Amino acid sequence: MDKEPLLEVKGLSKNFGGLKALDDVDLRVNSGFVVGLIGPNGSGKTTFFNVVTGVFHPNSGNVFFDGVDITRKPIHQISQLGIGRTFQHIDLFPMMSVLNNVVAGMLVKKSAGLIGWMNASSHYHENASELLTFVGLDEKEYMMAGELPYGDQRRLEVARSLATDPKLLLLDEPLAGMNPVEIRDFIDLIWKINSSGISVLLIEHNVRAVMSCCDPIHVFDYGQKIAEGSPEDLLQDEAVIRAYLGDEIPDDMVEELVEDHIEKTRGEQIC
Amino acid sequence: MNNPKLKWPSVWLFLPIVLIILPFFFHNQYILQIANLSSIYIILNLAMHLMMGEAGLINLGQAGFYGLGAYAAALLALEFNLPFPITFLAGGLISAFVGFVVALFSMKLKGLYFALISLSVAEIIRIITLVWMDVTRGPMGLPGIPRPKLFGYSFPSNNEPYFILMVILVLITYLTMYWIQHSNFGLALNTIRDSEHAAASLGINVFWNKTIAFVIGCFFTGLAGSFYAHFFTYVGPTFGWHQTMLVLTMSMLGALAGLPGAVMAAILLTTLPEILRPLAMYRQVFYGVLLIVLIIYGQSYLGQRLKRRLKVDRLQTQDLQKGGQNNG
Amino acid sequence: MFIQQLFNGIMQGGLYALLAVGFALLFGVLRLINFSHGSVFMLGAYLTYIFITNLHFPFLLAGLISIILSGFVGIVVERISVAPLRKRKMPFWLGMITTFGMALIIENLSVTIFGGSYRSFPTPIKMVGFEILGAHVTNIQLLTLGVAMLLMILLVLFTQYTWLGRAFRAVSQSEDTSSLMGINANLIVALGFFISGVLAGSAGILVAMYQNIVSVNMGLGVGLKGFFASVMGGIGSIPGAVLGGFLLGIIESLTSAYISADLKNVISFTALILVLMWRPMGLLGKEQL
Repeated sequence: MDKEPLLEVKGLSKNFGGLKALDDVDLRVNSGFVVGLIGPNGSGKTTFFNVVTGVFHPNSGNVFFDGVDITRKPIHQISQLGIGRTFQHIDLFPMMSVLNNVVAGMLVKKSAGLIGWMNASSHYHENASELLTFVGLDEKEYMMAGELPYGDQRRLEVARSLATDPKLLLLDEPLAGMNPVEIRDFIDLIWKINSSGISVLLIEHNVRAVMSCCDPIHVFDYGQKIAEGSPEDLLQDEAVIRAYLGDEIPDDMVEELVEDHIEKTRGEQIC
Repeated sequence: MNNPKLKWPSVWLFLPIVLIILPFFFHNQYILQIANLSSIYIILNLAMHLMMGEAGLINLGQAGFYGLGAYAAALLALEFNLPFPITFLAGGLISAFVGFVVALFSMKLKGLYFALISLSVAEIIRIITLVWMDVTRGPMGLPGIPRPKLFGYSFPSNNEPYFILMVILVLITYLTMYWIQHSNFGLALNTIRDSEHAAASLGINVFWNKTIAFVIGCFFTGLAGSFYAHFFTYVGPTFGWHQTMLVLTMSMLGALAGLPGAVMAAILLTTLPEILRPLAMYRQVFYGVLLIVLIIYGQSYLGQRLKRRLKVDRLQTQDLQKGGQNNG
Repeated sequence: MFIQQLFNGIMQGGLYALLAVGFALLFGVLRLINFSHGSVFMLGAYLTYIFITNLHFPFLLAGLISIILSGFVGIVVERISVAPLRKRKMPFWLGMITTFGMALIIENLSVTIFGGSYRSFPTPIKMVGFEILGAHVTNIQLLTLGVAMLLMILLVLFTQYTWLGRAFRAVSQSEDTSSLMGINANLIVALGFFISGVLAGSAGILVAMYQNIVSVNMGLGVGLKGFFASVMGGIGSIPGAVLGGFLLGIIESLTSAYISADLKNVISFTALILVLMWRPMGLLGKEQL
């Protein structure tokens, strides 16, 4: 398991005015894993995503993806290299159909050159349909994206990002506002995506959910990475507990979480 | 979901055919003049629909490129005696080129700033046509532009042959816009219109797509301008922002309603002044009222309904063509 | 000669600044480009003219009444062309079109009511010219500049230091939050249009005084210039609008003198384009749109 990491971040720093949003962050995501990123509000998680995907330029540090230095590259180039993302506040194309939202994701990879660009976009409807079935939205292809219920909109965002054929998928707080059933289903979806060979980096507030599907997990606080490790390690780590969870978690909850996690990974060696 | 497919073709094919044949029935020069002018405005509106309705660009400077095309065609015909097909195309190409240059340094800015720059460019073009006496004869304009001459056939001052030419041109423009709308390029433009940020995150090169859409739009705008020059045989420095704000806003309304809407809006814009002639003094006031009413109430009713029906229909018919699945 | 041109530029600039400030106010609060600003500008001047010539009001009274009426016209504009958009949460750029519609209505109704010819505008005091630093200046010019500066200073003080001013800024940041704090956003918006109308009307009177001419067409290009000055100086920023206005006046004046009077608009528009390319938020602007 010592091959080169898929995503490697070294010494990343980002200031906004006087505010240090990211402070000398090092982070690795190895190929094939589902990695978690947790931390209190304002700890720099979304800023981290934004710098990695090219929305912001860092003040210092580097981002390497698949061996390529992508620091300061334009957003669309980074996407073309294989990083897909969803947004904290859903950013769909509301006036377009669900189907076309997914087709939009396919435009760049599938249409080659001038001829491809002038082709009818309906050619990709079949592929897009398949993706929608994959995320569980096959009944709703012709609805306007803006009309979907919240949980479905999240799924659509995922389908759209998957359409770009990414190697790494960045999910920004997808579980916000979901009930436990929806959360369970969405985590299953994440596992499904991972099984098909795509690595996932998940920002989430819902610590329990993150602990049940991610390994390793990175913890941010005040723009710095303060811890990294498996869920079991983190639960013992005092710094983490202090920063994020307030008091110590009762022991029985620790057990429950650890069992949850083992069950998830049983028989699924992802290395 | 009901299947509107059966209703659409009959209504939408019927109307344009009627509109095209109607002027011939009347043999009336006046009506033909209006028809020709409508056609020019239809092309302007279609160009605007591409830039604004598909790509989401706020182009406040269309008047400038329109005038640029007209003056370019006029000058090439008068000074260099170039034949009609060349001057005609040159109007479009020169506008497209200037549009390209403008886009190069302004397309990376946010929408509002691009709008302001396009407006400034149009004003600069207008002032230059007003002031550059040596070339453009300033306020006196350029009269005596030769009528179109195609394959040796010189168009007489009768309007009917013009109209045939115009209809062909409008059809070409419409088909081009329709093709773009259904292509991958068109879909990319739509994503840029709805959310540039999300579009970029999907790998779409926002800058170049917007630029190409703008250049194509300027090309057709310039084409409309060069046809104006040859049709009226005179161009003057009247392509100002105020007068053409009127054309512009009608275009914007047409842009919001989809391709057929753009056509309808243009026809409305040209026929309205004639219908309103008795109210001549209050005409502009009426425009103002119309603008406000249409914007506030038009979008919610017409725009949404039209948009939704068009999109649903488009997807369904393509699906049926493939013989694929469809949910009732 | 240079000093003279500079002075002319400053005089003209002061008036542009006053116009620009009216724009900046509305843009800052609402993200709205108010195309009817020029027509209210014209009304301010024309109404004063009517009050003096036809009703024989003294200058000051005529001016004050016109200014207040201009403010009310501003509110009318808001009620008809802006409030319905806000109520339906429609995108702000549609306001460009609806306020343009209002401009058409106001200007053309004025043409039919008042007629289109140029009239000479009465002056409140006898014109006296004198020399400052080698430039020829009249007391009228100084008066207009003085009044313009006074109004702008009042506005800056108002927005920075009064409770109402802070309410304005709250609404411009977030309508929802400010209404939670008890601020009636609709009232603030209407008030903004009133003040903007007052500023436009005052600018109209001052310009008419400065040029000695009034006509129903005077609003046409001027509104646009005021807006451009505001954008150049910093969109939504009031000090920026002041800077932009003065800058525009000086550029125009110097261009007229040293290059060509015809090209002064070309140069100023080019200056605007250059500023937008280099610093889209304007010279003093803080935020990206």
